[in-house]
Amino acid sequence: MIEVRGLAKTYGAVQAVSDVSLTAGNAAITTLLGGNGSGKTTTLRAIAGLIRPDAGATTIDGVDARHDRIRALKRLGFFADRFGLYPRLTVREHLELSAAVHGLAGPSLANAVQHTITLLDLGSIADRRTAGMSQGQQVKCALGRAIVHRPANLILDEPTRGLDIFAVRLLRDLLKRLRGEGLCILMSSHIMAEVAELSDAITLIAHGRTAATGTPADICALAGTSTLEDAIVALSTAPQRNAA
Amino acid sequence: MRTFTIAFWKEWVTAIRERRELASAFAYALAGPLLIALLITNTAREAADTSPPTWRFCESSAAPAPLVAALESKGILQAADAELCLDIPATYEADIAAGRTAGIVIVADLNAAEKQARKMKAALEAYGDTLRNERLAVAGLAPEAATPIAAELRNTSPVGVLANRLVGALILFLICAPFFVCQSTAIDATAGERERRGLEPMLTLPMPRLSLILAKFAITFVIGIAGAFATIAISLLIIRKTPIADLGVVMSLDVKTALIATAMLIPLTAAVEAIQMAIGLWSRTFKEGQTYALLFAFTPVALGFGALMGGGGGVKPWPVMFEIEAMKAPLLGAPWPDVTGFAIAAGLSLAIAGLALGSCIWRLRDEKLLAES
Repeated sequence: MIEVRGLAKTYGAVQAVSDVSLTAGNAAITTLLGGNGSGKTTTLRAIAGLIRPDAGATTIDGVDARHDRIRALKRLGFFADRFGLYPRLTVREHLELSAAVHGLAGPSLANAVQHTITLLDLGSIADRRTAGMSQGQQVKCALGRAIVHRPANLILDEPTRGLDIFAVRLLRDLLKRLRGEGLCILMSSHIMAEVAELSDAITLIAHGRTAATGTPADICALAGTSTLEDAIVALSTAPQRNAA
Repeated sequence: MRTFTIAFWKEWVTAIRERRELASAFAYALAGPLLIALLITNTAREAADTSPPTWRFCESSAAPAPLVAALESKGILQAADAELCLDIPATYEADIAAGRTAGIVIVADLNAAEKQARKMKAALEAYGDTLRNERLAVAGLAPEAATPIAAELRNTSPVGVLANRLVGALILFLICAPFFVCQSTAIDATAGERERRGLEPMLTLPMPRLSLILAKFAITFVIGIAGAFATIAISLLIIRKTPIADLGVVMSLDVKTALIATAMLIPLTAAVEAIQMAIGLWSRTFKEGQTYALLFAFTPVALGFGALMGGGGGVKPWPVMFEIEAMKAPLLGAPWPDVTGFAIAAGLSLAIAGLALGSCIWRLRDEKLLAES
């Protein structure tokens, strides 16, 4: 479970987030929605301990990454918005690196890597270096790196960006499967169709604050609209409300 | 230790697969010794050249027979294609006869024939001395009366001044190896990785920042030491083929010397690679990091040239300055510096390395590191 309470962060004169709170439960997909610059990436980075909040608290299964970084990160898989792949390593080596740092070794490491390659349909490119790979192939490699150790919590920063419809479908099925296995999945996305189909809960961030939380149906009901897209637009300009 | 080993493996694979970076690193080890060898060979050839110059008369020059005979008696002969010519005024013989000073101009392209021109000037001055002595004798004066002091220069150095500077330049070149060999690797592992957004995923792995920094440092250090050894070994190997002994330089040029000289560079290499990493992590882009690292690499060049031009002054226990003097022990058989000096220099280098690595770890905690370049 991932929890954020009263998160605030400024970069110089820019207030990235001023009051963000959310709870992402186990066996559920929680989506962080908001416009560009609304504070989604800042929130996700704060949870992973990459930035220090000015106020508020973030925990992963009750562990604050600021206080016990290693223990918190052992519970987490993180998919960054810019992948950050190493162009001179192969896909398999990326997975091996992540699995090894998370404590896997020997046959269990080999099995985990092979399982991830199969799961993400990476077999044809597993032993290719990532330099020159397509956007979709890079996304799958970065995703594999985030899940190879079967974390209890998974953070995905816009995972469907750049994927073709086949890869989007594969990702959708994967996330549903991981949810079925009890994972806590927190992701940010802009694609409303994906959000509506996948999300068990939505947290809408607007102007650096939590504008609304609830299921997609709750969010639509709260905004009085028939589509999620209309609801998001309406609520992004309205004062904070809680649909749950 | 486990996370360090994993990070080291990742950095190692990444570094050795970047062939262009490695090639540029070891180009220093190959190209530099060749340049030094060329300098030594040319200097030795010039030093060995004792042949008398050839000369011709310039157009419209007078041609006094006694002067020609005096030069010929020294083996200095005329040649139509000589690079230098003598311009002698028409009044030459009258001036000599009247006991006046006769001017002779040696005309030459000094870039091409400086040594020949100097030899000719010396020969003419010697002939002038002879004429002066004759004049003094005619006037009833002993030649010694016009030479109250006869100063003589006696060289006690086993090595000539030029050879000494060449050896100094060679040592400086060897000391510069850690600064240049691993520059690209250190900057790529830090500023390059930041630019490629590769630090963020590493920082979201359950790995102490210390492991990550030490792994990056270990790779750059290993490549730095390997590059320094390659530079020293190749230099000594190539110098063996040069006529350096003709310059009066006795150098130890075996593998043992290369190993000892490399070992003497270990603390300095640690400091240099750590500073280059810090430069990389505090830079926003690879290019920016490379620019600052290049400026940093001029430190030993400036200090070294200062020491080279400034002469001796003893062994100073400061990094770079210490190595410049201390390297003369294994290479030239100079006295070894005392242990205290070595301990101070090594301690200072390792302290600098520690501070630089500390700043790297500090930098990894800085969220600005993850900001857009």
